[in-house]
Amino acid sequence: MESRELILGKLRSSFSGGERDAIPSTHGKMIFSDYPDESSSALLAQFTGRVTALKGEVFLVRSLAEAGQSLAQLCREAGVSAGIRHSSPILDQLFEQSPDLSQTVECRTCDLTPVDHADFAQAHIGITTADALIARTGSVVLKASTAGGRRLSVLPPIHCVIAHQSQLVPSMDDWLKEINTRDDWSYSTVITGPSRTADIERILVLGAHGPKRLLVFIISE
Amino acid sequence: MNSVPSSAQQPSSKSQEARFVAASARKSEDDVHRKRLLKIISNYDSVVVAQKENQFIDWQAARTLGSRIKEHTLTNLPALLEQFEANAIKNGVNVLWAKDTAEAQQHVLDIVKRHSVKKAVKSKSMISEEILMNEFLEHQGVEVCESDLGELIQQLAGEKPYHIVTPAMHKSKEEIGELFKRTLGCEMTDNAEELTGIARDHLRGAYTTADLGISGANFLLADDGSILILENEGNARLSTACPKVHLSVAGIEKVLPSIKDLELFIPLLATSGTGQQFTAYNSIIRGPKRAGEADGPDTMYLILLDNGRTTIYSKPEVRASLSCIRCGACLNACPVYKTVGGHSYNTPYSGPIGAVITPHLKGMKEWGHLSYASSLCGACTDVCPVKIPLHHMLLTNRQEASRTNPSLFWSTALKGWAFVMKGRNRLSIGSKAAVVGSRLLSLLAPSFAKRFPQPAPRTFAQMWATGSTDRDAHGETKRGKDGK
Repeated sequence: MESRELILGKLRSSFSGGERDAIPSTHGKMIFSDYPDESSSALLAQFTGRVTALKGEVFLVRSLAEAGQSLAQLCREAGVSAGIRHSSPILDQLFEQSPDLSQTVECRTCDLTPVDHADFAQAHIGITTADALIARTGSVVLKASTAGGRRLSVLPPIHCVIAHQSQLVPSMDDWLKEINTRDDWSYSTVITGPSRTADIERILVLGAHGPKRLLVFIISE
Repeated sequence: MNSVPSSAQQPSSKSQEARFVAASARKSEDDVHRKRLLKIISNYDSVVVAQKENQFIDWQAARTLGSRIKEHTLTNLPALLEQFEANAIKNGVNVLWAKDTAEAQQHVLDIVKRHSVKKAVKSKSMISEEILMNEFLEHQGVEVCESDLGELIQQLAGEKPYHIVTPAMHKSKEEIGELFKRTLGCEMTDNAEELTGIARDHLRGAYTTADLGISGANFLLADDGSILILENEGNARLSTACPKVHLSVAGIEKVLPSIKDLELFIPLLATSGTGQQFTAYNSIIRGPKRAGEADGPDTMYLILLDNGRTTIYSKPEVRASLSCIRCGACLNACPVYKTVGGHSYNTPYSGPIGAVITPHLKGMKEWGHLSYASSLCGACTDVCPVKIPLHHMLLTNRQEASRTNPSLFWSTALKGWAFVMKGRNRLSIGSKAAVVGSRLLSLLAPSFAKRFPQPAPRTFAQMWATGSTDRDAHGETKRGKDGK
């Protein structure tokens, strides 16, 4: 505790300015020229455009069953047979409504039975839900408490997100204002495109340490 | 405390100034280095300009807002730190304070012993360079794996980071291929994608076998008690997800008042750092895993480091340098950085921001010379996303540097000049001596003396005493007759 007092004391003694007026409150709308129009179709168009520009993949589907169908197709093409997901009503239904998907991908549930690092090393795909979709930047927001923890969305080489169109918000502001300290989560991450690096001669490479592919299924129903 | 180098980056008998001058001279003659840096930085420049135009209604207004928020933060820093600490403790974080490198290392040692740490995986963090984290841990027998691609390259090469955002920007893909072949035993390749794949495979095991994950923090969010880590590769996420213990180290100036400030600060940092709208991953970490969460560390520590920051805070003329969000834009804009390169500075923070803060963090006596590593062109100030007046601070640093390290020649010469100027008689003697001196010169070295105008026949004091000038008496001056 000694250094704490020392540091705070030094800061206090060197500045007698007192408290300044609070800074004016702002909103993304006042800062960004690409702040989206708030109609549902405009949000969807901007989100899809951004994710695609970042080399992520967006799939617009009418129902969960259709999402399951097209995910199964995609997994067959990519040779994906082992996956991990978390338990959630949406993901349960995804597999129930699509027998094809259940047959194609052997999927474990990471928050029901303990899944160790070795199991993760075997998994080709991690499937999660989302907390929100941010249209302005094409970002997917996850919380550890509702998206199967921290590893599921970053260790497997493909990350697949199942979300509803109603989860789209215009800008990060709109998600941040919902956050309050009573929410019970330890970790949240805003994901914008697949993992990338440009550390070698500024050449863009996808899939540095995180997922090489990011798939976002958006259900319109 | 064990004997570990605690201040010098690379021990040397030469003074830091002599080192800097020698290294800078070497680098400025290196054409390959210059061309490579210019290519990388011009690529950076073009994407940054485009991102500012595409994303912001008014970039200048956005940076003004950023600087206002940071100014407000600095004004209320002690209160915000206390608020942050209280919330972080509520979130289950062990908050530790460290006044200097030695105390931070002691905290690290305690953590290593308490959790029997054998292996640590580390995501990019400049502050860990400041406290010599890797050297210290290795000295304690702990294996440290750098996980950011650029930092891994530098670790394998046995070099310090070259740049605060792009640590290996000075290396070509061929050099990196050779390095990987030599240190990781892979086949030679100069393909960036293959090299990235090799690094990915090399580090996969490190995340899952490390006992400790080490990170920095881009922002400390006072109202939420959380830290924000901004990255592109996913290595920081893996380093803070897999190991059972997470240690984050942050400077006390990293606070932002509210989590809501991220709306502005993530794009400010991403745009100025790499020309992106958003980096791929922006992780808000509130603490260790909670009940009901599938995984995550059981314990989280956060070291709040002073290490000279309170000294900067106590000096009003450089206090705003604590607003820095470490985007690296001033390095990329600086003609001196682009010429002498990052390693010449021999300090974790290079470029204009490094030249401003290092003398205060590590001592003006040894590091004051960095204040002169600037042309004062102001390019750094122009690009700073939080409007730190960097080149003004370099100028005020020079005042302090010259007081701390006075030059014997100049202080003697100026004292002599002041002595002469302060007495009327001494000044008259001085001007007569100058006349005699110049006549002597024209006799001894006429061709050299021709370059100078001839002194007037009478001094000002003599003219004043008679109440007439030479012009009154002769119509024109002697110099005028010579036709000059």
